[in-house]
Amino acid sequence: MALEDMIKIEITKPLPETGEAGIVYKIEGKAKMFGPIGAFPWVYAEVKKKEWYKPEILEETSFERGFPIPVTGSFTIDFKPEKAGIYEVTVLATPAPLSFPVVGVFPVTGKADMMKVAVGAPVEEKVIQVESLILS
Amino acid sequence: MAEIVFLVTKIPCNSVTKRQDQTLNVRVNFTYKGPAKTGRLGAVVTQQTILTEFDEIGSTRKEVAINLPAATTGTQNLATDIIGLPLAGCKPKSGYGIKVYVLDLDGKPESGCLNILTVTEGALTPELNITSLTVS
Repeated sequence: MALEDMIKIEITKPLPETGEAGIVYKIEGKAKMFGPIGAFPWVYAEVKKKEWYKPEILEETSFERGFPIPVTGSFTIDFKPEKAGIYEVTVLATPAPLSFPVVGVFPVTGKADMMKVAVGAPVEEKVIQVESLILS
Repeated sequence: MAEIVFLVTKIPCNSVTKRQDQTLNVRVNFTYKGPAKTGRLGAVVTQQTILTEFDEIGSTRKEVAINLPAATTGTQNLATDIIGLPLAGCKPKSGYGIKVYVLDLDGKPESGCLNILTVTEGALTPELNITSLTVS
């Protein structure tokens, strides 16, 4: 069994296909172990901002840490795109918690299917204004 | 014209008199501009104190969910009813105010009006006194 297949990641609430910059989207899922690999898997979302003119090695890549829910194997990850663009988000599992995964997540012991999100510029301001009240 | 005092925008409102055992209904007329959103609209009876004009009486608080349809080209006029604010926690007196607020949207816009609610004592408890008997 390949190292990446040791933990099965099931996404129960994937990202929408389209989104808005500045809004928080939640990924929910479950991580199940296939083999004895020690500690409960920690999950991260690998976020790649795709730009057609950049080779993959120069793409903006960031990692969002997941919040595992003990015993259940469930997790949630918040994804908040700051800029408009096309994002590829892949949930990864690793056996050890990494406090600040700047370079990457290693070793990867589980990998979910990639989710592609087209993020648009923030929609115009949301303005709500109460004009009057009628009491009865 | 609306006047901002202590971050609560003063808006027009009619006056009512209610008994303690009655409830207060509030129709909120408001405008909204922005994308489709869901949020919450709340209302609470207030009283003036030395410190603040809108001191909330927590037992009267009531919130409802609102669905805001998208309005990207211009503002739209909407109205929502907040039914059944309990007045049992208000002492019988005049000079109460009302404050409405919006949750789950950017910021926490608050609007209200002063001296529009008078609360009187609840209905008398039915009491039967036997004053005399005639035997025949």
